[in-house]
Amino acid sequence: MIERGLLEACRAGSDSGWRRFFDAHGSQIYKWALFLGLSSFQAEEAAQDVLAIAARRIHSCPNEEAISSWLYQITRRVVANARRNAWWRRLWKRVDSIEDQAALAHHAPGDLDLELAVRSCLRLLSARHAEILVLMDVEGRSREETAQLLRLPPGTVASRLRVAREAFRTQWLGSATDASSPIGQP
Amino acid sequence: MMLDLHRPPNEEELRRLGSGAIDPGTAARITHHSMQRLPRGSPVPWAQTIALASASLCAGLLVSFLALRSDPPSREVTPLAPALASSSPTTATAGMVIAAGEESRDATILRHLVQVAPHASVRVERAAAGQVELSVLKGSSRFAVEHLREHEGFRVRVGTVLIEVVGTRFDVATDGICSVVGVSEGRVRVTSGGVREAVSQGERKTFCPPESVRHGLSAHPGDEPGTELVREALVLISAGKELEEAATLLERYRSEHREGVFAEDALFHLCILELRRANAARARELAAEFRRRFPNTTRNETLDKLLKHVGSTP
Repeated sequence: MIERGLLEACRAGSDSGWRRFFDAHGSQIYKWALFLGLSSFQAEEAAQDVLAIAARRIHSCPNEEAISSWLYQITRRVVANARRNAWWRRLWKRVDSIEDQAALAHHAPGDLDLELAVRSCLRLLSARHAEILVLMDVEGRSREETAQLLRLPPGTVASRLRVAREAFRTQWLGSATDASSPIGQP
Repeated sequence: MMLDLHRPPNEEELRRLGSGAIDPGTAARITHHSMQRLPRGSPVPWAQTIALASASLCAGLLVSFLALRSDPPSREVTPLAPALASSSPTTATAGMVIAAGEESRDATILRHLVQVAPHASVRVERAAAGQVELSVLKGSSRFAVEHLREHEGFRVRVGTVLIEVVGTRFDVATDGICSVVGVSEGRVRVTSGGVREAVSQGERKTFCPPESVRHGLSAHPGDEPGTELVREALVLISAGKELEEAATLLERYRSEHREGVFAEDALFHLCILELRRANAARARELAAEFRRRFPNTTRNETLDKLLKHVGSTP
């Protein structure tokens, strides 16, 4: 649901406008970050970073209809940076292994195992395959919506989705048979 | 729900994951922190910005000049606490230990905000007369420090490192020996091994004490008894080396401090350690004890999940 006038309110520096903007989009950004490979703690930080960038660059968002797509582009970059930084930190060992262990135990009840397994599997795919699965299969967006978010032609989305689903399936079954590295473990 | 690893999730299962709402506390924190980071003043085109900046600089110089000649004006400060709805931060005072369980925890100290990551803990050493001093006991934490006036200070001790805030938003993490300081906004001053250096916005630096200091200073003054055993064990575990030594340290903690503040952590990590060492029977035994002693923590689910891969749960 797009709130008319929200963009104007934010551009005018209205605190209540920004609060509505953050409430409306914070959760979505957090979930994108989570499914694109960050731990819950990192995803929360990434969501804040994305919204901070959005607040600084709100004038570059063309209109209300484009907010999601615009935020998604920022999220992609922030998540890619966070994953790169995490990779460097893991290279230096220390600290992160403790953080990862904490993140493993921090999640919502319910489809816990499935969520962890799906996130682990997505993390092993290339970013472009993971994001198309997140947008279409996890979030249930249409091909046109996804094409708009990713700024790709719908035909490319369709072919990439097919390859991504196959890669996900292969990765999933491969992880299931690999007893030494159970799905869901960091 | 039992997860069938030999069957990829179907469309409906994936959609269910995507349609679930996130934890309201997390959503509230994201909004709260984003509001804190909101740039103040309406953004205008660059030329006007430069003109405004010049005017502000002149005005600032004039105000500073006047301020030097009189008492410093009191600054209106917006408290951080009220914005959070479902997970309002607790107000911490000197002597308190802010320990997060399975979820991160927020606390306000004077008017500053501390966010403690899951399983991390921070002790408030001092919180009076504008001076805040904290010790990071374990894990990672994030700090949003409000503007400090002339007589105020905000210091964080982590291991042998002292961090003094010059500006504003930073996070620290410790594995018991080395400390990582990352600054997202502003600047902090870090003293480690007698050497002082600044960490600026966007930088992340690791501080490790020299080898000779590590052994002598593993226990910090004021630590809970036995902390150094758990700390050293976790460092060994995180490095993936000397697991046997780590197990010995955790067992020692358990025997010497059965009801100690880290009893849960020691037992939990020991159980995981035994799994990594392929001692499944011992791991099950420890998991059963863990469940008996700490039935209300979601760490039980983590242990169940890990044990599932080595056979039936106890």
